[in-house]
Amino acid sequence: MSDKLRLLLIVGLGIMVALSFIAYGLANKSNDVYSLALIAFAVITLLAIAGYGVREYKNLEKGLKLKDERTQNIERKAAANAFYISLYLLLAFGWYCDMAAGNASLPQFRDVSQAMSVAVGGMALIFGLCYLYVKKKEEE
Amino acid sequence: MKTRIKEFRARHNLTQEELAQKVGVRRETIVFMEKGKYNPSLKLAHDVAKVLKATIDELFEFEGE
Repeated sequence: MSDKLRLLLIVGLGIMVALSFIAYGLANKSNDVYSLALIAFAVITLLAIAGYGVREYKNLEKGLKLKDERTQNIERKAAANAFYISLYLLLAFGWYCDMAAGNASLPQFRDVSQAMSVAVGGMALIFGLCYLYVKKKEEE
Repeated sequence: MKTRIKEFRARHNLTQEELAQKVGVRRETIVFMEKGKYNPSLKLAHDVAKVLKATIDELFEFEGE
């Protein structure tokens, strides 16, 4: 896959996720503070993605790489860390679902697919955080 | 790890970006290599040495040597 296509996919996916957060925030009128926070987070994410996309596109035009051995090492380490942390996340989800089932005051998942979506989203978030952590640590 | 990449790069009038283009890496990788904060693979060290017309020994000095 060429670097330009890879960049397009990364930016496109990021924009889609951010826009879906905005759409969810706009559609959810029951909790205004939560919706506003979600929309604000999505807008900040959109701006960050746009900045990343423009910067990397300029680099690609100059003949620089999108990925190299250093970034691949960071990705590998982040993925390994995220895998272990995700196991605990899934265990915590299972424990929470059991606890919430017997307590009506706790928020419940609508169905299995919603729980699965939240789990996958959480895993993606963990990978992102691990990536930032490993990157920072490598740069120290 | 200490490196003399910056010194050799200056001798060849190359910017970090130009060196990155020649060896096929991101500019940040050259920055971290110059600061001694990134331990490159043997292939990358070889590629950098080749572009800078130096040996790996001349470019990289490991602590304790």
